[in-house]
Formats: sequence, C-alpha cells, structure tokens
Amino acid sequence: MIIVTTQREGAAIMSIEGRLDGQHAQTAEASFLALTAEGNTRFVFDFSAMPYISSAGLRVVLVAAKKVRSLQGKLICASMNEQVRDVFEMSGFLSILETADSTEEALERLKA
Amino acid sequence: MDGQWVAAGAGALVGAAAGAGALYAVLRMRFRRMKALLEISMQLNSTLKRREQMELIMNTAKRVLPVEAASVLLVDPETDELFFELAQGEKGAEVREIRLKPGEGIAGRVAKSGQSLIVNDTKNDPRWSNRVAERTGFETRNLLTVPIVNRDKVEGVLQVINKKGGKFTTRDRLLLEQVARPMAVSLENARLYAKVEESLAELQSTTAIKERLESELQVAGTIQMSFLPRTMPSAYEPYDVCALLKSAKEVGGDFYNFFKIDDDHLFFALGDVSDKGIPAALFMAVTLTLLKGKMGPGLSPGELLTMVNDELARDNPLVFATIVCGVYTCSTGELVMSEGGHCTPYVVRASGAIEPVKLRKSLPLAAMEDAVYHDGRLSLEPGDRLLLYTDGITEAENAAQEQYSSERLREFLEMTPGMSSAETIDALLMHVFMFADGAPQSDDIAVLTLMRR
Repeated sequence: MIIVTTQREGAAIMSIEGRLDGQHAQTAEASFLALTAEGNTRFVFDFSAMPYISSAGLRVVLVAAKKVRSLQGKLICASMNEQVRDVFEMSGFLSILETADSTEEALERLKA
Repeated sequence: MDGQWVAAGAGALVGAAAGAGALYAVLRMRFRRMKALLEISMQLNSTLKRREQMELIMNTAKRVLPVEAASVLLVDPETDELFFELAQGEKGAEVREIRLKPGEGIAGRVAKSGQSLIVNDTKNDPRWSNRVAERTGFETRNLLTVPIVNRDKVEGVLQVINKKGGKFTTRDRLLLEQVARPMAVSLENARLYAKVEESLAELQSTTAIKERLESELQVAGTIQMSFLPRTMPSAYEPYDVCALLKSAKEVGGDFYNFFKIDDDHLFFALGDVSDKGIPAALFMAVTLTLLKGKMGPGLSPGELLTMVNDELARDNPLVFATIVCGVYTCSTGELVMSEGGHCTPYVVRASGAIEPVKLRKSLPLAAMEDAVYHDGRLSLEPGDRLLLYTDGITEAENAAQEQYSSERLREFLEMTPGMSSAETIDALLMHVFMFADGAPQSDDIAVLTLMRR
C-alpha cells in the first residue's frame, strides 16, 4: 500500500493505493494524524485505487471520522469501488460517513 | 626498508672477517621477522574475540622484537580518550585502569597525528608524560609507538617499552607498523563478530519470550473458550441451537453466546472483534460479560446493544466489535433481532428457500458513543433455521485467493433442510475447508444456528 497526500483547494487529499488491511492500518493512521498535526481540518480520502479494506482499515477511517468531528472539520470518502462500498455498508459506517463519487465532487462539496 | 638492508649488508661486508657469518645472521633475522608477520596474519582467523586476537598478535611480535612490556591502547569513540585494551608486562593490571586524555603523552600524540614515534631517552624528552610511569612505578627507558589505522582512521596505538639490549631503530618501527596493520583488521573482525554475537543473543531472548508468550496464549485460549457455552441444550427443547468457534490463532476475536432469559425466551449473540490476539480476546470477554449482565426479561436486543455500546464506547477503545443478537420466543417462533456492523444473517426455510435477514444497520459496538441500535422482527415456522456467522466463513480464501463468498454460503444452505443444527455446522465447516483446499485459515470463524423444532 502507498499513501499519497496532496493539498488542493484548501483540502488535504489522502489517496490510498493498495489494500488497507491490518498490515498497513498503522501507516495510514499515522499519515492522517500527521496531516491533522499540520493544521488540516478538511479531508478527502481518495479510495479509487483501494481494492480492499479490512476491519483494521475500517478502524482507521473511524479514527479519522472521530478526529475530524472533534476538530469541527469535514471528511469525505471519495471513489470507493463496489466491494469497498459493500464493506462500509455492511459495517454500518455509511451512516456516519459522507461519500462522493469522485475527488472533484468531494472538493466541490467541501467548498460549499 | 630495502635501504637499511643494503646498509646493514654493506656494514657486514666491511667487517671482512665476520662477513659471511654476519650476513647469515641478518638474513636469518629477516626471515624470522617475515615468518612472524605471516604467522600473525594466519592467527587472525584462529579466534574472533578481540582481546584474544590482540594478544596473539602481540606475542608473535614480541618474539622478533624482544621488549619488557607491550600494550595496545584504543580510542574511545565517545570521548576520544585512550584506554588500555591490552597491557602486558609485570605492571599490566595497574596500567589497564588508566585512561589518557586526547593528545596526552606519547600514545595520545601518536593517536592524534597517526605518525609513529620512537623515544629512546624518555628522561630528556618533553613529550613524555610520566603519569602512567608514576602510577605504576614501572621505569620506562625507551618506547616505540605506532598507530593502528583502519580505513584512514586511527583506532588506537600499539606500544612496546624497554627494548631488551638496546635502542629502538627505524627497522623496529617498520616491523611494529607491519604488526599494527593486522591489528586494525582484527579490530574490524572483532566488531563484526561482536555484532553477530549480539544479534544471536537477541534472537535467543526473543525466542525465549516468544515461547513463554505462546504458552501463555494457550492458557488464554482455554480461558477464552470457557466464556462460551459448551453444552448444547437438550433435545427436549422446542428449538435446536448449536454454535462453534474456531480461532485462527491461539486466542481469537470472534465470539458467540446463548442462554435462556426465562422459560419462553432464548437470547443468542454472535460477533467479531476488529483485531486478533490478546487485545481482541480481552475485548470479547468484556463484551460477553456486559451482554450477559445487562440482558434481562423485557429488554429488546436493540435496547441491550445501545446500553452495552454506551459502556464500551466510553473509554474510546482501540478495537470495536461487530455483532448480531436476538431474542427467540419459543412458544411463537417469533424473533426480535438487532445488529451492529455485522454481515447479513440468513433464514433457511423448511422448503429450502434462503432469505437474507435485512436488519437496519448500525455501527459496530464501541465504534461511536451515543450510537443507537434498532430492532427487527421475523418469525420461524417449524423446520425453519436461522444462521449467524462471521466473515471468517465468507472471506475464507483458497490458494488462488478466491473467497468462499456469500454465494457459496447460500448454495450450501440450500442443502441443509432436514439436518440438525450440529450437522449443519459440521457440514458448513467441511464445505469451507474443502473450498480452502489446504490454504491456512487466516481469520477466526464463528457460526451459530437456531432451528425451530
């Protein structure tokens, strides 16, 4: 798994490339927390290149969602494939997460 | 070096009477020195311990260069001080406790400059520091000091004191410099060897810790299993319930439980902690304890989960647990169920029809404070079966990394009408293991099935 972080239009975009499983959860969490430490409060998680997420990966998203809530910021999960969406749906996470079909759509909504 | 041999040879020729004998003596000495150097390089491989190597080298050197005392001082990389790695001679023990400041005395000077020094008259040489001599009472008449250089870095100095029968010559210096060279190699070897030894020791202690942990894990696994009901209800109950847990490691994160709330109501639960090993097992134990402690007559599964979640989520734990649970009313076959982030249960009708149980989704337990859990209702007719499972079933992989999947699970369930609950679980596990075809079980598996008789 590779994590690419970019800044665009006042938001931090974190692209997960590869499986987000127990092996990589810690790296992903550290990357996210580093972004918050830099003062970011608006985030897009770009899942377009993430084929799979495990429960350990879900925990990272949960930690992020809680952190963003405490920062009174916003987090949008963009471009998840069908399988990943099923996992989010099954785990009940869709009820607390905002999702978008693309990073562009997410950025558009963060601006509003 | 050749220049001196020529000079020595010329000198021998001048003394015509002793000429042949002197030449022979010079050649013999030269041969002895060469032999000593060869021996030194051979000895380098005989031991890898630094001090032993140094000692070997020094003893060989002393055979061709007779002196009263010899020592090796090394540079302490942290302080740049010189300390005695090796001190031979009658005052060796006292000398070994002394440390020289950077640049102090002859040894310090040689270590700093990297240039060898011969001092044949210590009393009249201002560079000479008598601190060591005073401390030990060892009288130093003359001394020869050469640097031990490894990759352009001075690692220390080799020092010989009080040549027997004369003064130190340039030839002695050249010889000692040649002796110092393998010492540098020896230091490097010893460092590598020490590193190997260190990692070996580390490996040994890691292995010991691992073994202890494994035996503790086995005990933990036994304790964990004792949380689960092991005796299945008797054949005279109006339902047939059976459950099984198979952990991928010694202790797992999957769990189940069932117990009678009162004569007419059976409570059942099955879940999956988002981690494995000890943290998962501890979290599972807490969850099971809370479920059992809080469940009582009149409480709906949704109300129960909301209460349990409030307790679990309060401390913001690092793990969470998906769960599905319910209350079965024996007299009517009515089921009330609730869930938190768990995979879809199935009902297998007596006819063989498979129905996914669509419950309103909530978050896993402990994921979020103030989460609300909802109730869903359905009912079982005689011969109908409810099946709860964890994703260890549907995500079981074969060697080609294909998953067992919910499609295969449904295909399997179509074959189960007429089977008892125990038979269904046995057959399901067999079906999953046949599919995995020898690929190791990567996730815990828990299954619970309840059939109305």
